[in-house]
This record gives sequence, C-alpha cells and structure tokens, in this order.
Amino acid sequence: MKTFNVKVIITIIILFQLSSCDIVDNVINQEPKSEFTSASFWQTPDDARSGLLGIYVSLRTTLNSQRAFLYWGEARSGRTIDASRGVVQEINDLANNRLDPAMSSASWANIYRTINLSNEALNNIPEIEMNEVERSKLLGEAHFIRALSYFYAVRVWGNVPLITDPVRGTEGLEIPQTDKQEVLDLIENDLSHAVANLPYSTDPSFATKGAAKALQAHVFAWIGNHQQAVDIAGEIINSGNYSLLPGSSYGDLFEVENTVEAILELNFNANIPGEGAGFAGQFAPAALGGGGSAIRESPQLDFMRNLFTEGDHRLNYIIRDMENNSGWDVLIGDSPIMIGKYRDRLNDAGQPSLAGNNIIVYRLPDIILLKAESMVQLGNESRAIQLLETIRARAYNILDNNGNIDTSSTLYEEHVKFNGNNLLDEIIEERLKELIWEGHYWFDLRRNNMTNIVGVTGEQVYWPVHQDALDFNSALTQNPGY
Amino acid sequence: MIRKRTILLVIIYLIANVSNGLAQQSHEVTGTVTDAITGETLPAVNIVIEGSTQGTTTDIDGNYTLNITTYREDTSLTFSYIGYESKTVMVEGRSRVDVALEQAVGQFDDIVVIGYGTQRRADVTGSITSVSGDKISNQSVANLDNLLQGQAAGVQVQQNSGSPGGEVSLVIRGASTVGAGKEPLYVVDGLPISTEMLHGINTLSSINPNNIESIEILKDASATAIYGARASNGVVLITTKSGQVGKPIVTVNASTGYQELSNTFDTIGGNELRKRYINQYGMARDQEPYGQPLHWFWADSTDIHFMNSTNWNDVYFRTAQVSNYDISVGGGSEDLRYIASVGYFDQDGILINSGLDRYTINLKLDMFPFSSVRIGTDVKYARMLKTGHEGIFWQMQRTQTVLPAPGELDLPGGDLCCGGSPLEMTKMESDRTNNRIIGSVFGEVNLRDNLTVRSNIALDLVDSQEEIFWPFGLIGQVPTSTRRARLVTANRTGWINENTLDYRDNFGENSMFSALLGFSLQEEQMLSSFSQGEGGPTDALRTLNAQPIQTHATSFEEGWGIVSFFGRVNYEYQNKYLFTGTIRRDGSSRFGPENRYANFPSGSIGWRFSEESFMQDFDFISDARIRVGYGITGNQQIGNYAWQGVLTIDESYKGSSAVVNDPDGLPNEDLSWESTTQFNTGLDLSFFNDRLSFVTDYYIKRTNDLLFNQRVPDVTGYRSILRNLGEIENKGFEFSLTSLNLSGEISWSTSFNISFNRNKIISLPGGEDILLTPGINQTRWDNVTGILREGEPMNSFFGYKFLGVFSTTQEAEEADLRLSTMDGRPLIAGDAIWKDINGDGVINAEDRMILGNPNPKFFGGIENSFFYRGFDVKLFVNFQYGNDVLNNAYNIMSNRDCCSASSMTVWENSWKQEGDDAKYPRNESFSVSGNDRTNSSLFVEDGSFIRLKNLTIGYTLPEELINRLSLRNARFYISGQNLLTITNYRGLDPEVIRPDGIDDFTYPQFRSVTLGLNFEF
Repeated sequence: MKTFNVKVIITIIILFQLSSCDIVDNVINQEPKSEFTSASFWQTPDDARSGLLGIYVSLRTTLNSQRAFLYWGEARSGRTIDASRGVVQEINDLANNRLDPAMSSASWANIYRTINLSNEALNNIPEIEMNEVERSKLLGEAHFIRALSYFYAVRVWGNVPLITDPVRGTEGLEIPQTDKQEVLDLIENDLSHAVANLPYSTDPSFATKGAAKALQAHVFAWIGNHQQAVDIAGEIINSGNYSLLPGSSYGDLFEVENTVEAILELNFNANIPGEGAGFAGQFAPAALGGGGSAIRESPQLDFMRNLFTEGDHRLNYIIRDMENNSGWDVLIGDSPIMIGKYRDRLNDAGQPSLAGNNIIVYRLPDIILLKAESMVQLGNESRAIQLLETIRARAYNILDNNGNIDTSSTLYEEHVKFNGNNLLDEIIEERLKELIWEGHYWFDLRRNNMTNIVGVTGEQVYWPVHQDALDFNSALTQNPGY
Repeated sequence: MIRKRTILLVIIYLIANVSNGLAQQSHEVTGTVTDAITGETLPAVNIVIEGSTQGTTTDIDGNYTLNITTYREDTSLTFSYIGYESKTVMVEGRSRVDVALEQAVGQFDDIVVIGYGTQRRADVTGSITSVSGDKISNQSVANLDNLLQGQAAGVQVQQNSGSPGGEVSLVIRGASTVGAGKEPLYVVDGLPISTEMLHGINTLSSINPNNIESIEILKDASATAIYGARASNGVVLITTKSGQVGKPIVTVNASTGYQELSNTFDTIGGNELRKRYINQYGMARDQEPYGQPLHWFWADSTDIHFMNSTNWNDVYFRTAQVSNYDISVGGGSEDLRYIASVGYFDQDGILINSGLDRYTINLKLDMFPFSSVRIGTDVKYARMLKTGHEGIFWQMQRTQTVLPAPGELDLPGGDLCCGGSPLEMTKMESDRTNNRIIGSVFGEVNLRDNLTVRSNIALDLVDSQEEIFWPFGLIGQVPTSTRRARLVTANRTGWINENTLDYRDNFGENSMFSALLGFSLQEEQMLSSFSQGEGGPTDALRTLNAQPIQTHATSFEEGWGIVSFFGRVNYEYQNKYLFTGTIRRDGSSRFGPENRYANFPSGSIGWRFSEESFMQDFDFISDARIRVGYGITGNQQIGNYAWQGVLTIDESYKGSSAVVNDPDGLPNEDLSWESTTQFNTGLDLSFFNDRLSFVTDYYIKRTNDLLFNQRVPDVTGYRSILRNLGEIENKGFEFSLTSLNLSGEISWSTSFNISFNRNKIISLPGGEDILLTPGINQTRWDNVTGILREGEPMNSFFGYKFLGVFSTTQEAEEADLRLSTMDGRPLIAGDAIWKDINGDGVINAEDRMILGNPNPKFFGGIENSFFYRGFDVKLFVNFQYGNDVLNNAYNIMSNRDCCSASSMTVWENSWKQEGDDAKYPRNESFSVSGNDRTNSSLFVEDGSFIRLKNLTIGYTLPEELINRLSLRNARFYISGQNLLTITNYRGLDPEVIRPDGIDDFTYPQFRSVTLGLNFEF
C-alpha cells in the first residue's frame, strides 16, 4: 500500500494548504510599501511632521503654479506685469478686466487642497502620542496655513465654501458657499491659535509667531479694524526679531534670501527635484527656460521706470537689463529684460536657473507700511509719515542701524521727505515701489477701495468661480457679475 | 550576424548526424490507399513508419512501396492525408497493407483547451474559438496578439504602434469598461500571467509564436467564469507545444526578409510650400506669428530653406531586415516526454535606430515516475532588447520639408518654429531590455481511476530596464550643453499555486459526469526605480557613474494578490444533452474589506439534435447543436491600492520629506468589482462529414458597476474618486465557417469569420455626459475628442460639424452667425462654416455634436489554403467596416501652423481666392484665424479597410528526396505581410489606430517579404 500512503500525504498537504489562513491573509492583504494610506498615516510624531510639510508643499504649489500669487495679488492692476500683445493671454485678460470662469486663476482647487490637508492635520495631530510642545507648534502651523489659504479665498472670491473637517466618504461632498464674514471669523480664530502656539523662529521658511501676527495685521486692516492692525504690526516691529537691511544690501533680499527682514518666505530650491519654482520662469528669456516674451518694452515697463528716481537702491531690482550682463548675452538672445527681483543662479549642474527664487509672503517693510496705512486711517498722520520716511530712507541708504534717518542728506529733501500730497496715496505708492512683483498691489487697492484707479469697480473686484468648480458641485452659485 | 548563422548551421549539422545512426533489418511492404466511402484511390498520401523518420508517399494511383529497414514485430505505419483522418496500422509481417482513409471529421472531434482542463469540441457548450499554432507560425511579426488579427470571430485587434514589439490592444466582444483595463486575461499553459507593457515592450511578445500549439479564446461567461474576477474582458488560453511519444523530432525554422514603410503622408515642399507661405503670410517681412521672426525662406532665394524640399521619409526610414531562427527537439517514451527549443528573432525597425531582438529558451518535461503519478516541469525564458523611441515618429512626421536634410549643410537641423529635431532625437540612445522567466512544476496523482488531484506552483519573474543617454549638444534638450543618462528599472515577481481535484464518473451507460474543484493563490510584487544624472565629460561612457550630478534617484514597490475557489460540473446524457456549470469565488487585495470577495457563477446547456432520431434522415448533416449559456464575470484591473486612499511621499519641503494625498485618491471603502453578465446562444452545424461547418453565436453582454474615476467637487481638496457607477452593453453576432472545398490531388480549404458588435452606454453617473480628453499630441486650444453619453457607443467623437467654406465675401457677410469667430472678428470669405446646432447665432461649446463612432460595424478575416503536390499557398485577408477614425494626424497637418508639416491635399483644396468653392478653409493658421474648432467633422473619416495581410507560398520537398536527405519534412516558403490595402482612409495605416479611434501619428506597420524554411528530422 505504498502508493496509498503517497496519495494520503499529498492530499493532506493540499488540504492543509487550503485551510492555512496565514498564506491567504498574506496574499489578500496588500499594504502599500511605498505609500501611506489614509488609514495607515497620522499615527506617529514623524507622520505629524511629514504631514505638516505636505501642507507647506501644497501652499507653495498653490502660490507658485500658474503664478497664482501674482495673478491674484498684482496682475489685475495692469500696471506692473507687461500685458501687451504676445504675452500670456491670462495676464492680458486680468489687466483688462476680462475675467471668465475658464481662466486658471479662477480656480481655487489648490487652495482647497491646502485647506483639506490642514484640516487633516488639525483633526489627526491631537490624537498622536507626542511631545506637547511640538504638538502645539505643529497645530499652530496648520492653523496658520489654513487661515492664509482662506484669506486668499475671501479676498479673491468673496463668499466661499467653509470647510473645517477632513473630507470623508462619497456623500455630502457638494458644499455651498458661506458668507465671507463667517470665513473671516474662522481666519481670526485660527490666527489666535497660531499666535498663541507658535514661537518666533530664525527660519522664515516656516510659519512663526511673526508670520501669524503679520497675517493677523493684514486681516485686521482688511476688515477695517485699524487699531488692532496698528497694535499687532507694532508688536512685530518691536519684537526684536526683524530688522531692515541697509539700503546698500537691498539686493540680499533676493540674492541671498531669508534675510533679517523676512517674516515668511516659501522656500524653493533649484537643486532638489520637485522643489523648483516655476513662477519666475514665465517672465524670463527663453534661454533660461522661460516664457521668453512676458517682459519687454511696454507701457507697464515705462510706468515702473517712471516710479523710481536715481539713487533708489530698489531700481536695480525692479528691471534688469541683461544686455551688458557678461556671459549671458548669448543665452538671452532677443529678450534682454528681466524682472530684477527674480535672480538666476547657477545650479549644481552649472546651469543658470531661476528655479531657486523664493516667494516672499511677508517681510518687515510690508508690515511697517501696513502700520503706516492703518495709522492714517486712525488719523495719526505724523507717526505714519515717520514710518513712510523710514522705508524711503532705507531705499536711499540714509537710514542708520538704529533706525534714524540722516535728514541732513540732500537725498532726504529730494526723495525721502513727505511732500504733503495725499498721505494714503503716498503710502500705497510706496508699498508698490517696495513690494512690486511680490503680489500685494491689487490687495492694497482693494483694502483701501482704490480699485477704481485701475478701472475696476463693484462686483467685478471678485473673480468668477471656475467653471470646473461649478460643473462638479451643484451647490455652488456663480459670483454676481459673471 | 554571420557568426550567429554559422553557429546555427553547425548545430543543425550535428543534430542531423546524431539522428542518422540507425540499425538495420529490412522488410518491404506495398499497398494501395483509398477513400473509405468512395473507394477512390488517394495520391500523395504520407506514410511514415511509427517512431522513425522513414516513410514514403503514394503515387498518382494511390500505390506505394516501402522498404522498412528497421522492421520489428510491432512496427506500424501511419497514413496521413490532408482532409482525412490519420490511421495507424500494424504491419504484423504482411507484405501488402491496403488502407482506406476516412474523411476528416473536422473540428468536432478535436480536443479544446478550456479553463483548468480540456474538453471534446463536441461537448463544449460555451463560446470558444480555437486558433491552431500553424495559423500564426512562420510570420515575421513579434507580437502574438497581433497575429490573432482576423483569425477569430469576436476578437478585435488594434495596434497602438507598429513598432517592433509595440503595443497591441486585443478586445473581445467589444470594450466594456471605461476606468479599468480592457485587456483579456492571458493564461499560458494554465498560468494566468500579467501582460501589461513594461518600458514600451509588449510582454506578450516574449512568447515565440512558432512554439504555440494552439490558442483558445474564451468569449462567453460560460467559458470564462471559471476565471471569475479577471474574466470580463474574455480569456486567451495559450498552449505551447509539448513533446510526443516517439523518436526525437528536430524542427528547424529559419526565415529572413525585408520590411519597408507601407505608406507615406502627402507632405508638400519646395516651391509649392513657398507658394503656400506667401498665400498665408503675404510678402510683408515683419510677420512674427509666434513672437519669433520666421526664416525668410519664401522671399530670399539665398536662404538655405528657399524652395527646399527634403523627403524626410528617405532620411528617417529604411528597408530593414527581419530574421527568425528557432530549433526545437521533442520526443519521449512512456515515462518521459520532452521538448526543448531555442529561438532568435531579430527585427530592425523601419525607423532608423530602432529594432527588437528576442532570444527564447524553453524546456518542457512530462514525467510518469509511477503508474498513477505524473510530474511536469516547464521553463520559459525570453530576453528582449528594444531600441529606439516611438515618440520620435510623431515629431518626424510633422517636420517641415523646407528644413535641409542633415549632411547637406552644417546646420543643427532644428525645427524652424518649435525647436527640436527628430533626427537629432534619434541620436538619443534608448535601450530597453526585458527578461522574463516563467517556471512551473506540477504534480498529478490518480487517487482512484476516476479521481485525480493536481497541484502546481509557478514563478513568473520579469526584469525590465530602460537605459537612455542624451549625447552632447542634442537639439531640443535644454540645456544643450550637457549630457544626461537615465536608468529606469522594473522588477516583477509573481507566484501562483493552483490545486485541483478532478472527478469523472458515468452514472450508467448513457451519461458522463465530471467535476472539478479547485483552490488557487496568486501574488505579484513589483519593484521599480528611476535614476538620472547629468554633466558627464564624454559621449563614450553612457552610464550613470559617468554623470557627476545625480538629479533623480527613486524606487517604488507595490503588489497585489488574489485568492480563489472554483468548481465546475459537466454532465452529458446520451451524447445529446449537455450541461456545464461553473462557479468561482475570488478575493482580491484591490478591493475594500467589505467587498473583497465575490462569486462568479455560470451555467450553460447544449443540445446535439443531430443525434436525435428525427435527424437520421438528414445524413448530410453530420453534426448540429444549440448552445445557451449565462453567467457573471468581473474586472479588477485597477490601481493596487485605489480603495485605500493613497498618500505619497515623493515631495519635499526644504529637503525634508512631505506627505500629501493623491488628488485622485479619495478613499472609497465601498469600491468593488466591475461585473459583467453575459447571455450567449449559439448554433453549430456541420455538413457532408464535416467538410463544411458553421459556428454562429449571439450574445448580450452587460457590464454594471463600472469602475469610474468620478470628478468630485474641488472644495474637497480632491479631483476624483474611483467609484462603481454606470452600465455598458455590448450585443453582437459572430459567424464563422470552415470548408474543405476540394480534396484530392488539389485541395482547397477556406475559413472565414465575421463579427458584428454593437456597443452602447446604458447609464452614466447622474446621467451626465463625460467628455474625453485623452492626452494626445494636440497642438490646439481645446482637447476634447470624445464623449461618453447614454444611449451612444463608447468613445464617440465629439466636436463641431463642418458645413463648408464661405466662397465669397458676400456669402460671409450674409451669414447671420455673427460671433462665429472666437475673438468676435466678422466672418470673411474663406472662413469655415460651422453648424449652429442650437440656432443662437453663436458657435460655442453648446454647438458640439457627435461626429462619429470608432467602433466598427463588422470585422473579420478570410483564409484560403491550397495544396497541390508539394506546393501550398495561403492567402489571408482581413477586413473591417464602418468604423470612424479621428484623423488627428491630418488635423495637425492642415493646421498651417509654423510647427507642422503641411499636407498637399489640404493646400490644393484650400480656399485661396474670392469665389473658390473649397473643401478646406482659407490658408491661415487656426490659432490666428480665430475661427478654429479643434475637433470637427472635417477630420472624422471612414476607417474601413480590406487588407491582404498575409500571402505565403510554400513547397515541401518530395518524399524520396526527403528520405534521401534523412529528413522527416522539408519545406521552403516565401511569405509577405501587409501586401495590399484597400481603403479610403487618408492616414498611414487604418489598422494602427488607438483603441479610442484616434490616429495620432503613430508608427505604422511595415510591409515585408520573407524567405524561410522549415525542416524536420
């Protein structure tokens, strides 16, 4: 019966295999090895840290892709970005108040992606076992980024959907717009959390107490709470964490980056795959991998040149004539003008690259001038003039280390001293001169109800809701006027 | 090349010598061979002494004489003749052996491979088409799936690229999915294997078609449901050749031939192109259509581009060689059967710097160590090397003829407007390698006479890589001053274990019962990597170590698994009433725990009414059957972790890893199978002793719970979610015929098949249209090409209806479509007239309509084979009718864009002056005219064609000569592929169209002529 035994053994082996759940479980439960899943993530302190960095990546993408921070913050003024024939159609449309629901800057998809990631962090980080100090800081950062994202949203679209919890499941995804006042309430609430939990820090690439206060000051100025705006701006200025660069080192802001002036800079790096900036390239000559045609002789270029006078150290960082830039002529070819604030550097491969330019969200002069602006609104003109002159004096390099203006200089009389015109207009113009290409001017006009000077009024100060957003969310309504 | 051939010849010589040494003892036999029914004598009947290479043929009167040199007591002779059943007769000392041969009983006595077993064709109640290996052998085509074109009813083969080893899509009974894979399940010698493209190599081409014994295509649910969750798209069973009991048989196949481009575009150049530019831009010098000044080649006769006309086809294409060599040795005894083979396939691409090499080694052993035990092992190894870029083809075909050919002038050869030169791109080195080993072992034990247990384990290893090197100064690469090297790898490890229990019983004289019970486990893991570096000092060293700056280094791992239980019952009563029932329960790692397991049942019945007594009078009907079947199958070809909601970690902030969610990965725990229910009924009829037989099938296939990437509101932070929504229906009719028209000295047989499929979308999420933007090489503003709409066929073309061209200014002015141009400019003569569907006077997105259907009304193939004496002729024609093609190639070539080559036809038929009654609008770049509509009926064409796919003429050496050469068989042939095509289609190749019906400047098929030989000894 030898063969019988063989049969029995084989049969037993097979039967054993059939019932062996271990093998079956291993085959059927496949966990991703190179990715997290929504179930496996947010478990450890490391998850909390890398998840939070994901929010920064998303914020950086939001402002960088399609040059959104400039489209939202500057392009509609039509004054700074060349909007003449041959440039990107969208810049032309924005400058000429021809907005439509198909344009890229009408999309809030990236903003809500950032908001959803922030909601995930705010929902999950409290459950993770970790150091309390670090937890508070991480939550503070998430609150800050959510607030910044919503602040962009209410400024660009007005009423927007208010979502504060992570998205789950397949039902109830169609969420309507909420009154912008409620959104602003959430922003204020988020910011008080952020200010309370974030430390000042030396690295402006991340959300800090200073950044949270800077945003707070902007929000208060936006809603007309000027006393609060003045107070908070003052706290930032007097915190001792930030100081103005000498006028002679103005270029360090863009060439060195992350200077003592910086409050928040979204960090880009040309040498790390995926961390390069795309926004600068559009305005660069083709040889630098850019769009090649967005900056050239145009009414905008003339307007910018006329803003500045000789001796202003900022002039070289507004427009750069590349013609005499030795070594570059060959590469630059037919389009020798570049935005001065976007600097090309050699990357690790020895190639010139614009991809390392940071997006400067907040820096000290912004806060100083914002304070001056709110001072004017409160009627305190003399203090406002002092702040305005500080910024001008720095630009003409007549400001000493202690913040004192050299009033004996001829430059002071000619260029720095307040000339007695409308003070608010002067401050807004100074903000333009100081912060041009940094995505502020349109919001400055909006905040002070001055958009009429660039020909935009009424409902049209808002963008339309993007067609895609409407198509896939029947709860939304198009903004009035579109 | 010469060395390879020399080695091969030496091997052939050695093997021939070995099989020559035979013992001697002789016995002479004579006799006559006749037809068993008519009594006519049969000439040229093959007579072979069993277990030897010796034999002869009958003469013209059916007589033969054979001297058996190795006569033994048990020597027997095998008589074979085309169209007749072979017969083996023991000699038993007789000196005269007369034999009467029965005419072949056709396909109904054939054995058909089915899932987990075999079945007599007569007992099959499902819809299965068999393609025998000889239908697809000896053709100079690398891809197996490509060779199935036109061979089987219900099987539509579309080539996505005609490049060697390029992608092929095979669709059985109409596409039934939108968001999941459309490919059938391929099962090679019982093992379900993955066949997706890896690095541009079709992994199915790792099988040498000459090694294939048969291919069975399982079409209806009754046949496929035993493969459950993976069977919705049908199942293709590939069976490779096995060794047979007997003396070793050595088979040598060798062929070599040439291929060339089968068609070219009507691009214009020279003075004609110059005239076109002047017509478009005028003579004004300051035209800068894209912000960049154009070369002044149409006005300045000293400009090198002036009136230049380069025939780029001559530069890019060549007549290329294709060769195939393979040898196999097979044989066996009662205890052991074996077959071993080695093959080499070498195809140079018709596009310069492209090609495919394939090396295959196979070994299959079947052992019977004990009376009730069988052990088998099978190892298949294939190595494929592919060079060249498929994407270049697109770039090349649109290169303007005004550019000077390289070598004529010391110019970079860059594109005038758009940068990049395809010729330069061919200098980019791209080498893709794909190694695959499939190894399996099985054991089979007869526990009792009627109960068999079988278990197998198999490993499937694929190791694939792509190496690319960009040499110094490649135009179109930014920056041009550096070198770059890239290495991409993919490593796939799969294993399968399958266990079955097979039971057979007769429950009485008139019935047959069999049952199968099985359990299987399959898992696959993939590891891929991507690394890239640049800045190397030399073109001589092309690997990453020579690139000082490493720019990318990443790897990725993923896997999936499936657990299955399955069973089948067959019952047959009185050889008339047939029943088959199957069930499979599959559990897949790709679905959420709630929906992980699903059951896939099927049942079918058959009635062989030809066996009924009332049919006995109709003796010209040799077989007649009705089949009816119904069942459910599934589709699980989606991302491995789709339900879980994936978060990726490949981004970073300030160099630290950041985790973000996949915007298309909103988790869906309810995610489940796509399921297809199919009803099938068939009628099979055979006449005149099976000389003429028909197989007809009618089916209705409904796919529910379509796997769909549904867009979600963007405020969720996500873009889409994979859900089960919607329903598609495919209905169709298939007909095939095989006929032996003539037998005897001249024999002629025909096989024909034709398939009609109607595809319809029954429901979509929310009933709303889904616009398809398939990421093709569109250069224009709007990227929508197709639509999914309830009640319409899948992938219907969607766009604007072109009504003609305004002939005169007056006509244009009178037209009341005031805003017909995009930028509000008034219409002028020469502008296109678009159909204003809603009659609102504005031509906008609301005026798009369905323009065509990419699904054919019918398709099929017809093969005629002739034999006369030693000659054989095979003519294979395939055809397709009624499908529309969106000719995007022509669309681009008629764009008058500075970046595109121009079509002569379009130029000749364009509106040029007041009063022209033209087919195409005035000669203006679409983006400038402002009256462009991307996808219009202007470029939807009829893709019907009929093609002489293959013509082979062979000659088999006469028996005496073969005997003298100590051979078993020797045949020489000449074969041509894609020799003639009749079509109205204006693109390069109506067969090389993407599955969604778009022709997008893809690499066309070649035309080839091959010389070859088949030896057996």
